[in-house]
Formats: sequence, C-alpha cells, structure tokens
Amino acid sequence: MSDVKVVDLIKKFDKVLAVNGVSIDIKSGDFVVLLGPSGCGKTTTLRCIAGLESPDSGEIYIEDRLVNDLPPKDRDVAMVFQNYALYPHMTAFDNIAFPLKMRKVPKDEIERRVKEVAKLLNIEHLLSRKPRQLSGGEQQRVALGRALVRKPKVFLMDEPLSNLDAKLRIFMRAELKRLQKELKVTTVYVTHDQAEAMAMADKIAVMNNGKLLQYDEPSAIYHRPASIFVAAFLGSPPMNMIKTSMSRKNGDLVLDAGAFMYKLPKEIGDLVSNQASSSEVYLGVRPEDLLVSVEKSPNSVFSAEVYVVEPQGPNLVLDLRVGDQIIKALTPLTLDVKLGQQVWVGFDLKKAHIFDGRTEATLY
Amino acid sequence: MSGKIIDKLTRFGSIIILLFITIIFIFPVYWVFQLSIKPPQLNLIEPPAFIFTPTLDHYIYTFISPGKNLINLSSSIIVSTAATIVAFIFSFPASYAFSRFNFKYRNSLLFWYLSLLLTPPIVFTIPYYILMSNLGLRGTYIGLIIVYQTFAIPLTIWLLKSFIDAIPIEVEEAALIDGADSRTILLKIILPICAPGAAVSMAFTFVFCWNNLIFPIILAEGPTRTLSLATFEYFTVTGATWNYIATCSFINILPPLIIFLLLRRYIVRGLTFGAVKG
Repeated sequence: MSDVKVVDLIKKFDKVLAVNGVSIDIKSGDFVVLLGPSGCGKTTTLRCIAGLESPDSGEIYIEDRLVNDLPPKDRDVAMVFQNYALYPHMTAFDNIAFPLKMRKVPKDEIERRVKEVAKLLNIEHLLSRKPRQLSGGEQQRVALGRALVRKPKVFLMDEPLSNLDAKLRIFMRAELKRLQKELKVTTVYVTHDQAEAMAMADKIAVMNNGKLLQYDEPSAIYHRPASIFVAAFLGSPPMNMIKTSMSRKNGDLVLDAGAFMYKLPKEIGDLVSNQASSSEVYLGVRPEDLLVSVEKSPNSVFSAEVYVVEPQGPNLVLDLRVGDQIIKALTPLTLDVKLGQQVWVGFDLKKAHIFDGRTEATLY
Repeated sequence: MSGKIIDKLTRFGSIIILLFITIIFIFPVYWVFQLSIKPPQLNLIEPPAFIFTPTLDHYIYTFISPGKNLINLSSSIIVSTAATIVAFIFSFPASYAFSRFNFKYRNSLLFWYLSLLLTPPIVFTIPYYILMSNLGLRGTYIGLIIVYQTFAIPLTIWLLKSFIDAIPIEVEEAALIDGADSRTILLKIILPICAPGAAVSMAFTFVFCWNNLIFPIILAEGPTRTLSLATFEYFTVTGATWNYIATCSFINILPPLIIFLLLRRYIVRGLTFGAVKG
C-alpha cells in the first residue's frame, strides 16, 4: 500500500520549471530522502506535498486520497523547517501544543501528549523556555516535537539538520532515524547531503534540474547508478569518471583513455556498443574500488603518478595523474608512497561502470 | 600601556561630546519649565534670573481657574489616542498585505502612502475644511480623528510593514500546516511577534497626532481645541504671554515623554528588530 503518491508533478515559477514530471510512490512507514543539489526541485516537491505550493499539473495522493485542492491543515501532514520556524513568542510547551490547540483537543489531553513527546525527545526540562533561550539542537527538538505531537500521517522535513554543527548533525541523524523507525511514520526528507541520505533513507530519490533521475534503495543507487549525475553525486570522494573513446580492435571492444587502453570482455563489449550513442564513453570507478600498488601486479591496468597525498583517518586519499586526467583513489594508510612516484592501478570490472558520454546514461 | 591611556581618553572625549549634545537637547525643555514657574516680571531681564522663588500660579491660571486648558488637554488625549488606535486597526492588516502579498500596483500604492507623509499638510487644509464643514464634522472629535488618518495610516503602515517583513515566512507556513487559518495567523502569530514593532509604530503615530497643529487650527472649535492649539492662542495681538505659553508647552511635552519612557525597552528592541536575526 502506498501512503504518499506523486504523479507527474509539474511546478513552474514564472518561466522556470522547478519540478518537471516527478512521480514518486512512497510506501507506508518508509523513510524517503529527496536528494539533489540546490535548485533541483526537491524542496518544491516537498512543499507541493505539504500544500504550501499548488502544482501546475500532476496529482498528489495521501493514503489514496487526492489532496491537490486540500489546504495544508486538512492533509494531516507535519513539517519540520530548515530554520525550525518556531513561534518566537511562545514557550516550548506552547509551541508543541499549538497544533493540538488548533484542533481543539481538550486541555488535559494536550498536557499529557506534550509531556509524552517531550519525554521522547528529552526536552522535559526545557518546556517553559522561549525559543531564543534554547540552543540550536534544542530548538530542533522542539520543532520535531511540534511535528510529532499530532501523530500525522506523513512527516515532511526540509533539511532539518543543516543548521546544526557537524557533530550534533551526525548525532541527530541517528536519533531521527531511530525515532522514525519507532513511530513508523511515513517520512519525506529533503537534503543535499548525500552522506545523510545514505545513512537515513529506506529509499533515495535523486533529483536534478526538476527531474527525478533515480528512485531506489541507497545501496542500489550507490552500486547501480542510473546515470553519470547519480554516480557522481553519491560517495565521498565521488566516483572517478575517466573519459575514453571506444573502438574495435581484432573484434574486441577497447576503451582508449589516452594514457592506457582497456579491453572489455566480449559480452560486456557487445552490451556497451549496442547501446552507446557515440564512441565517447566514460569509465566510472569509485575511489575505494581502485587497487593501488607500488609494484606491477597481474590486475594492474595502468600506471599513474602520485599528485597529492591526503591522509584521512584510517585511509589515504591519493590524487593520481593519468595522462591529462586526475583521479582519486582510497587506499589503506599502510601504502607507502611519495609525491611524484609512479604507482600501478587496477580495478575489478564488476565494480566499475560505463556511461554514455552524450546521454550520460549507464551502459554497464 | 599607551593603548589603555588612549582608550581612556577616547572614552572621556566621547562622554564630553555626549554631554554637550544632551545639554543642547535638554536646555530648551529646561528653559520652558523654568519659565512656567517664574514670576512674570523676571521673564525678560538681562542677564536671565536663574535663581528665583518658584510659583505655581501660571499652572493654576491656565489649567484650573480661570483658564480652561484642562479641556484642551483632554481633547488632545482623546483625539490622539483614538486616531492612533483607528490607524492601527486599519494599518495592521494593510501592512500585512503589503508585506506578504504580491499584488498589482503594490509599490505604487506604497509610494502613494509615502507621498501623503511627504506632502506639506497645509495643502490639505482648504479641501478638508470644505469637506468637514459639508459633513457637519467640523468642531467634532470624529472630524479630527478622521483627518489625522492622512498621516497616521501611512506612518503606521510603513513602520509596521518593515517589522512584518522581518518575520520569516516559514513561521506562517508552520502555522498553516499546524492547522491555523488566516485570522489565527494574523492575530495569534504575527501580531504577538511584531508587538514591539506595533508599540513603536503606535508611539510614533501618537506623537505625530499629538504634535499636529495645522488640522486643529482649521477644524477644531470649542472643547475640541487641542492643547497645542490652545498654547498657540496665548500668542495674542497685544503680545505673547510667555509664562502661560510655557506652562501649556511643558504639559504638552509630558505625554510623549512618558510614552517613550514607558516603551523604551520596546522601542530599542523595535528599532533593532529587523537588524538582528531572531
């Protein structure tokens, strides 16, 4: 059963197409993250679901009811804003109680439910304070409390963690996920932070330029990206895209990167050459899938020059120069390399991807 | 060490300058006050008499008996308070609309309001005199209250709009999702949040009404004559009765002073409202 369903959503601002034909089906209880760069239409999509924007065309269903013409208050959704949007003149208690007061819930029940939510969020001792007397993290919890107290059908969250400092953000991210699993409320969450999306989501919808590019589970998006954009947007450091031109040599399909040639096995070569729109293709390999060694080994594919060495905790990030391209590789700290040194690099084709240079679609 | 000395000197210098400025502003008020309690024969002597036996005679003469300036004071209070409240009632929803809705001719309309503030009020006197005479409102409180709206509404709208502009739209959107309707948002969210702004704008409007002289000159009669008009009337053909002018002027200064002292906290907050992020 689907809890939230968006069908062919289109929203224009003046002449700018903010959301262009987005369709998403969200299962009851799922945590769905809308992920994309700023201006990709993710927030507009969320605001359409909330009822704060009215779509130019397309349909939005909440629990199989068409809600296009319903005002926000009748959609039974709750929203957490990036700047929390707490009512500055009310105490934390009154902020959390506000949605209940608007629904004319009896006073003693309001009291009981606000306390219950406050306990869940560990803010019982803050209830008598005004928002400006609270820290960013505490304000965040009050904003969450205001959303939780009504037990809505759908939670909508617009970058709720982006105003917190890095440490608190990672802590709250886990808290939010636990809370969502505990309460089993369908959640639509907007972020531009791919790590946040990977950590929290049951499903990720990657958007760019108003279009939905891929909608799948995090691991599927990470390991089987649908296009160059999706592949490059997820992962840190992002996937290496090595520009190559494809040609036939003795019946085999060969990718020519300038600095090296890579021969594709027959069945993969046929698959790629049948779909490719031109000879220009990109070889995509994630930094952690590159195997760097000082000595040449049987799986080495090409040699490269060490350009930058960045130690990052347990790993090293190496910037390697291959011909006129720079690629990044993630290696263990134990690898002993110096600037300017020649190293050998290999990869497993099963973990690599091939993209069409023109359409940016995934070929393999 | 020398840095500390320079710091102290700068501090000392700025105190001297501030003191000087304060004296410039306070002195006229002091002068009016001492005139109001000075025996008349000492008024114009050279050098001025700073030490004398104070008297309350002028206050008694102007306000209690035989003078009737108490009536003028109450007229000032009634007209200014009512005009301020009326202006706020109309301006609050209007400034909300100007702040939040993007309608046709919005900026032209705002500019038109501003132009009402910029126009010399003397321009309105003849049409208002004719209009109010025909409506039978000359010499009534209502007539004055209506005419005061010429500047009271534009002033309130412009001041309130800047305060509403500073309230993040998300707060309203949150209320919308929480189940509030427009009326609730306006009265229970926007109004309390911009209360300091409302206090500031009402204080300014009140003072503008209180200080207005030109409209009472043409429209007020009998008991509706305001205190500023009554003060003005002590300038007679035979000369100015300085002590009576001073008593009326001093009483005239008090209400705005009291309002600003009472609302000082809000006014400081209100003036910095837009500048500091909430």
